[in-house]
Amino acid sequence: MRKTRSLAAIAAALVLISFVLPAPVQAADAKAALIEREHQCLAQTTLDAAMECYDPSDALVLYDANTPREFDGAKAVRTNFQPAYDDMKNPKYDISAEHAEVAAKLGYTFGIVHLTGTDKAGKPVDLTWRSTNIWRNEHGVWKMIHEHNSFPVDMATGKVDMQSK
Amino acid sequence: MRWSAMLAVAMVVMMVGAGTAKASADDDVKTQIGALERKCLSYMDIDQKMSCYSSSDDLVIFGLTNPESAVYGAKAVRAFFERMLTLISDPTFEIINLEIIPDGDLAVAIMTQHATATLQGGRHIDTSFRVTEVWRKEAGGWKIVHAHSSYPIDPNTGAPNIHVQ
Repeated sequence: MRKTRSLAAIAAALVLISFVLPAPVQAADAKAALIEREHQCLAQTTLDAAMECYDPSDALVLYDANTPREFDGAKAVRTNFQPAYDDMKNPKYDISAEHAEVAAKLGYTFGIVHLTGTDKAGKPVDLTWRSTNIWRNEHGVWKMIHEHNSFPVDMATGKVDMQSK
Repeated sequence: MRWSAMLAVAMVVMMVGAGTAKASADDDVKTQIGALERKCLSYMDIDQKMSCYSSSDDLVIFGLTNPESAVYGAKAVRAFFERMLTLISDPTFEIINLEIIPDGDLAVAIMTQHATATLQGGRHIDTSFRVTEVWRKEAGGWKIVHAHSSYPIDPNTGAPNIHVQ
């Protein structure tokens, strides 16, 4: 009985806190948590750890910088990412113009991602692309359910611009 | 029946009811966003076009090409569409593979768009590309707050695939 009362008291306190805290404060905290999650995910150095950031189901949809049009499901996404994790050495990422917003269990982030490192032949890699991520909070953990990475096309040359700022 | 069992039954009934209501609300949002997607694409008047977008500073568009690879704020987005609308005539748009994910005051639409148009100078274009859009429920209804359009790169040629299927 004492345990039941304690649980009820905790539940009541949580409900009270959700009403007492102003909505903008809660929204700011949720945004900060999602941005922190994105940074954690970007910093993962193994494919297994990176895939923990994605919805493990077949509902995951990736629009990556390369063809085909899309990769459907976690298995296809993992296969697409494998060469990058096999070939890249000392990758360093930073994100500029970063933005996040959360509503209920859905959130989105976007920004300009800059990657530097070396490929397996020791050749420097320096790429900048646009990234939009759609996240769903599953049991308290943010997982990506959709990712869109791309380079813009330079109108003057018709070629892909891999250093667009 | 003990009070705790009655409480458990009541909670299950409430959860099932809430789940059904949410599914119904989500279906309504999907229908609304689907209709808005088609209507907004058809708008060739700048004021009509901008009525689909948030008027806030956090509106950001990642366009297909430079120099509109990243456009920040409603004012700059308006200038972008004003320029685009003067560049093309007789456009047609088709939405393929539209998927809408709603939750709370956000909804995400992912799709392929097929577009044809005549450019200034008479050149005809026929192209398909990936689009991710984030809609937010604002005082004036559902508005686009982020859009990301892109062509994937064909790794065999290094060129953008402007006819993704």
